[in-house]
Amino acid sequence: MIVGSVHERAGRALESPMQDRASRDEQYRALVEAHGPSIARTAAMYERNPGDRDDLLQDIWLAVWQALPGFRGESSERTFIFRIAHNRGVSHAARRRLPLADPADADAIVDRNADPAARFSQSEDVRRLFRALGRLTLLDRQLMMLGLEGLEHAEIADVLGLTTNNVAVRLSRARKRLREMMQEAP
Amino acid sequence: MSENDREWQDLSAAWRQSGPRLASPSDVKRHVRARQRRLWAVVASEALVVVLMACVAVAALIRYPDTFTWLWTLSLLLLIAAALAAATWNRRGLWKPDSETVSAYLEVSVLRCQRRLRSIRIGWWVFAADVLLIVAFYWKTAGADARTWVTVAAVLAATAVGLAVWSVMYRASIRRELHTLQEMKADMLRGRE
Repeated sequence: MIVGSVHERAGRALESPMQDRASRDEQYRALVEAHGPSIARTAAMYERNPGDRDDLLQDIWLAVWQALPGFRGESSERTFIFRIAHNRGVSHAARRRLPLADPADADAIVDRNADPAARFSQSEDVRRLFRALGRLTLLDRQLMMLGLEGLEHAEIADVLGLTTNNVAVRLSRARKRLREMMQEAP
Repeated sequence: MSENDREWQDLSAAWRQSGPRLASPSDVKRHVRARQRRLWAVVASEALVVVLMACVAVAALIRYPDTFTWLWTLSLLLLIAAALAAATWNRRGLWKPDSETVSAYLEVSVLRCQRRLRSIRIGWWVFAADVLLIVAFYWKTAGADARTWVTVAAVLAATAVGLAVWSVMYRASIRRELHTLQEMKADMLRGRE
């Protein structure tokens, strides 16, 4: 749980470079603790292979570390971190030429061979959800992922660079499509 | 609350409970630091190449302080400066923070790919200028020695072939990436309509 936002703590940044560094370390640790699971799920939707997924995750956290000094709190902490995660994910998907509209292999995302603590929830709902999400276009997938993470329409618009109205309309359509897909493929 | 809203809330709750095992924040930080060191190593090695080339030029000047060597050294230094200037010019407007919106990030990613394609052409111009300098150097130092010229020609031809193979593969990979990014961008634009 984060005590105070990253921005508030940035405002309390101490004067000497070493203290600044300690403050940045503390902000970073708090971000990893608060958003680690969300960012891991985001990475999983951009990369199915567990090894490459770990690389993508590291890439995202490196970008967060580098972007932290420039974070002045113009947007919310969640918006800041989801923008970075999706931007790195997009770059990764483009470089690896991952199919955008093909069905994602939910079994690859739910890593059976990993130790029990490392497994995704095996619940049937989540597996069907992963499969259906994999069949959406990139934008719909991003909208759904952010919606499922509990972001408000205005926050999603702020992450993706759309208007709130666009988000509302498109998310509603995407939810309908997702529901149909989940019913089609039990 | 409608049936659909309830269903959505259930899905959202199930989604947020899923996820892989997480590394501890200190593990993440360690990995990040290691990556940062690797990135710095790449930057340092590029700088080292520039410094080494400048050292070669200065060493040649000290050893053969004649007009030709002065001209040759000046040309080499100009080439280094031109190559660095071209690389810098080619990167203009490409910097965007990773915390930019996804649509703005896509725009700049497309531009980055286009600039990388251009950097291949710049690389060939730099290589051509290098060839001229090397030929001038051996014309002055080796004269008409056939053996030296065969060796020089073989090395230059092998380098040209290597560069050509790399160019073709790199260009194909950038074009594929560009195509994917343009598809993503088109999808994003449709989302704005």
